[in-house]
Amino acid sequence: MNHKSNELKALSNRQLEIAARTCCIVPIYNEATVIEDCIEHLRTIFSNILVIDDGSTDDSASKAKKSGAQVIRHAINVGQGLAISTGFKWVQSQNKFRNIVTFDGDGQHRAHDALRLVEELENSGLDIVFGSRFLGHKKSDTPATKRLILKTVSRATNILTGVNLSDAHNGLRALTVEASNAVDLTQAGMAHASQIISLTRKANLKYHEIPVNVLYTQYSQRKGQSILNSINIVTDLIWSDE
Amino acid sequence: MKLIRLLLVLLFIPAFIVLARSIGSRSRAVRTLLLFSFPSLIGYSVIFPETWQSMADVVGVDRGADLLLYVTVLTLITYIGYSFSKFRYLEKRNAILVQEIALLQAKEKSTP
Repeated sequence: MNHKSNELKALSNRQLEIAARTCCIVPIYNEATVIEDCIEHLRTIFSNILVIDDGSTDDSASKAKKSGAQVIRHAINVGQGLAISTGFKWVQSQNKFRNIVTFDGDGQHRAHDALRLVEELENSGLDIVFGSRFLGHKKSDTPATKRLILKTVSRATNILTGVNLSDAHNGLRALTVEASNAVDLTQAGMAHASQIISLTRKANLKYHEIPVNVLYTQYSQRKGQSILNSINIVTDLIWSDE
Repeated sequence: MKLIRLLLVLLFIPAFIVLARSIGSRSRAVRTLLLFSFPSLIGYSVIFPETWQSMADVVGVDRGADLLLYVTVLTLITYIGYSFSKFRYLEKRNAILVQEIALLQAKEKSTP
């Protein structure tokens, strides 16, 4: 609680207002080890946290709920893309939020980065703001192989969609609730990240990319996407009937 | 250019790709027709072995056995492709159902 008070003291009134009209969507699958820390960290800034438990077989959902998040549960595991889509649909039905943040549940992202994204969204009148681990002065801690794969995926996505982003598969992004209507995700799996970019282009949404930190812990590296999974992403995109 | 190459490139391969990816009722009927006509053709060729050779001569393949192999491989690939498409279609429907249930449950919980 003291930790939260200290964080809140550091925020301006405007930042508090922005945070209050933002809903953070956290898709999770078997994140019981880290989900409490992740929610507590997010709650230092945001009060509206929606966890989509994508059919976890551990007690991720109850831990998230205990930490103060609202939890929506998928009966079975279907993929992060659908979990985010469920979050979008729920937020749209509530009519009380202006912004949405998507935030990974494995502890890789920082709440202050999420706030910076939403601030950029509101201050610049944008529809969607993407976080990038490859922008900024600080050298990214991304492991070399992962960096190579992510850069290749970004280039491929940029060529296919006509957008210009440096980090296509960063789970930290902010968008307006209105823009989320145009981002109607059909890719249930990890290919949703490329689909968000493709739909951004199709709907002519105003977008921008700003630098964010991605923390690589042993846990997040073990849980993160394997290099082989990039083959599945490409297959999903090619075989898509959208 | 041999006729088989033209047929393969311009007709058979595109037709089989469409058949493999499509899950509509028309393409299903065509696939069923193909599936049943294929063993009939095999049975016919057992009784009249020269049939495949005659067809091979028409399309420009050296041996009837080679033509049979091409047709078998194309049929097999089409069915693998179709199974993949059907699996993805069912997966997608399954996902929509899971989402609908999740949202309904969330709505029920939030209703006082």
